[in-house]
Amino acid sequence: MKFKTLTVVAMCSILPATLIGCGSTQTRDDAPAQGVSDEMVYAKGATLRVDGLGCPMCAESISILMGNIDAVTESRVDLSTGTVHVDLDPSMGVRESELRSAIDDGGFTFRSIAFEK
Amino acid sequence: MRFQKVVIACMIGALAPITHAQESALSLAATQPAKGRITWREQARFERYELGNEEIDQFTIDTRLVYGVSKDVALTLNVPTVLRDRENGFDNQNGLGDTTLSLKWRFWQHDPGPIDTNRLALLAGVRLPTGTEGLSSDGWDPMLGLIFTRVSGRHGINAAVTYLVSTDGLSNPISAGTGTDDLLTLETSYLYRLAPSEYTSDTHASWYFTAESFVDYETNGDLAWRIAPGILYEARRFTVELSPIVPIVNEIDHRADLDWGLAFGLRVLF
Repeated sequence: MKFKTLTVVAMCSILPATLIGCGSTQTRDDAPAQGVSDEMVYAKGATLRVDGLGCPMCAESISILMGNIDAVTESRVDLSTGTVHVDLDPSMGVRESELRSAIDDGGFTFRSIAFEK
Repeated sequence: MRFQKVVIACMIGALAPITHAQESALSLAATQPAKGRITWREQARFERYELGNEEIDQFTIDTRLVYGVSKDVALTLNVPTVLRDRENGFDNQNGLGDTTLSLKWRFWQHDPGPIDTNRLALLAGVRLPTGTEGLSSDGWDPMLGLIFTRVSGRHGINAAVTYLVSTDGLSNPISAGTGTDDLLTLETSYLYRLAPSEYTSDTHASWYFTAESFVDYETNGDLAWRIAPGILYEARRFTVELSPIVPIVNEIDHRADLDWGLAFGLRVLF
């Protein structure tokens, strides 16, 4: 009886959520992230496309991580479009890989990057 | 009768998390701070229990630090402080409860859109016998868990199953998992973003309605189901949450029954 009860509890509480959760992802663009160059870039800004931001606190995490990069003077995260815009000091070079690492370290999915020369 | 209650309870509980989630007040989520970052969480919880004819008021403050070891691994330290006021006046207990140290590993993640995410994490931890006498289970109690989180638009769900092995325990436990028997907990939570309805480039905070469900089954046969509807305000650097705790099923023979509870929490990102 106990085993039966426990089985029902488990199935009712966990399986529906998991099955429904896994079965209906709304794919915006599942294309893999473009290749990221490790060359130094001298630009006045960059726009990164990011997925999985989730919430305002997630967005803040990215701003904090971007702030650790020397060339980044300011960053803005737009949750509605999943874009992170960073203002860069053009005299200081930055590598694409540095910007991408900040997104990865936050636990988000990097999609693409475009520099403003 | 008991079996019917459990089935009904679980079916209602399972309806809540049909969509997806951020991190709600009381339940686990497959979320974590970024690599190298720390979140500090302070949660005050009042619970009134009944043990026979005696009322027991318990006020717990959980201090929780979560450190992002890597982008997929987080270390959590939870230190509870407990004030227990018993109606009989003789057995009041105040002091530290047992500290829990746990490691969360997010082993799967799929982000299909700007704010949408699906995550699975494993949880492994140990409850340490750091509590004062009468509040500590006195054992080194290992625990394991599996957590699922999904955020899709305005909706979020979390579902978690955890198993705590009791290596010792109180002879007269008040709350679940503090006696000599193992504890299986099934948690589900649903979050609905009340405002803003759509994120914009100027969004700095969100309001959520939350509904949480907890099924506690102990190997001595005690079974309890609690729900916690609540409200959560999340800004970019902090979160405030408030949730009443309501017992739905109290099929308990070996510890106190929960009468009601109230949780208030604050989280800060550093």
